[in-house]
Amino acid sequence: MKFETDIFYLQQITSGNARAYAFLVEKHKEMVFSIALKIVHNREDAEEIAQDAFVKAYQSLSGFKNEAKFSTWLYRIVYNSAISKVRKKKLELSPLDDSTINNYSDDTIDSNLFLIDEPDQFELLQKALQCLSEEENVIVSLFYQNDNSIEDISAITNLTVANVKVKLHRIRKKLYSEMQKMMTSLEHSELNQAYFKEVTR
Amino acid sequence: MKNISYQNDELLKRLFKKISPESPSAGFSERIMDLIIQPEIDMSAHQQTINKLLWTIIASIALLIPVLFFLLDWSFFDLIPFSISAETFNHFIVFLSKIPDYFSSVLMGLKQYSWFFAILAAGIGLLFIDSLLNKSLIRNIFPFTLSGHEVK
Repeated sequence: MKFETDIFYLQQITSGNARAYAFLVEKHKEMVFSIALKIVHNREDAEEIAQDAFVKAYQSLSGFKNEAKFSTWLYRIVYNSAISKVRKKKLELSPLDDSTINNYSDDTIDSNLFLIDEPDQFELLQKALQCLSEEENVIVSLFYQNDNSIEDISAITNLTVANVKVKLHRIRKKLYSEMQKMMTSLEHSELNQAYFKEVTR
Repeated sequence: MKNISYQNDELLKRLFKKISPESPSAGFSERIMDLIIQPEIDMSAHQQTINKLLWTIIASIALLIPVLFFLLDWSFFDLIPFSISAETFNHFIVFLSKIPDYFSSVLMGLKQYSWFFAILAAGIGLLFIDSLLNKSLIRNIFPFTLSGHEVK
């Protein structure tokens, strides 16, 4: 489905066509739901949060200034709602594991990662993402998956631009660190298997 | 490798693009639109035709009519026995035996004061319809809760 710009739909809504909001819902529902899901880790809760965020955004449309992008504003609503929900459940967001990250420098990002097949790289990334905190997961997805700018992410997460940059830098290192660790253990297990085969032969 | 940072990491960008976004359950958009559009339909569909003052007048008349009708014209409560004795019991039996007559008197009264009852019935009917339209029967059954286009 091809969508018009958000501004187009917003103008339709303000001129009395409330049904135009359905297009905005359809356009942003996946990212809104993904943000909620990355934070609450429960599909039902994520759907409820996403639904509330859309309704809340609609009801507050009169207060929306075109200074920011609608999507940024909407993502901020869902991000805050999800964080509140998690805090209510007393599930503290896990801070960045600095000891792990600081022991891993940029220089040591292994070029072997670039040599393996893309499906393997993808699998390693999927597993490495599980090691990130909820906040980190949202930040990295917004940046790499949804192409949001640093400024957008700053507005969504209520972090400073500098803080977002530092976090992205750390998250990248963390991801490569985890991917490298997994690849090394995989290589070891393959070597062990080869050795075992050789011995038994 | 040293020159690659988070900003120009093509590998991560490419891999992240391969992650398919999570989708909510079917009918997600429709449910949101139902939540958004429903109150607007209610607001536009129901335009309250009778204002607060008129409701107060109708309710006052509706309350006044039975009082005038029973207490002033018919002295209905004078016939109720207040202490139990042979005489009062006798009166009570007489009263019971006359109940059918009272019903015929009520019927006669209905005919005599038919326009009062017409107003009463119309008032109660309008009150009921208005309450139904507002979907809040209990809150709106009293005149002082009926005002303007408030959405509950």
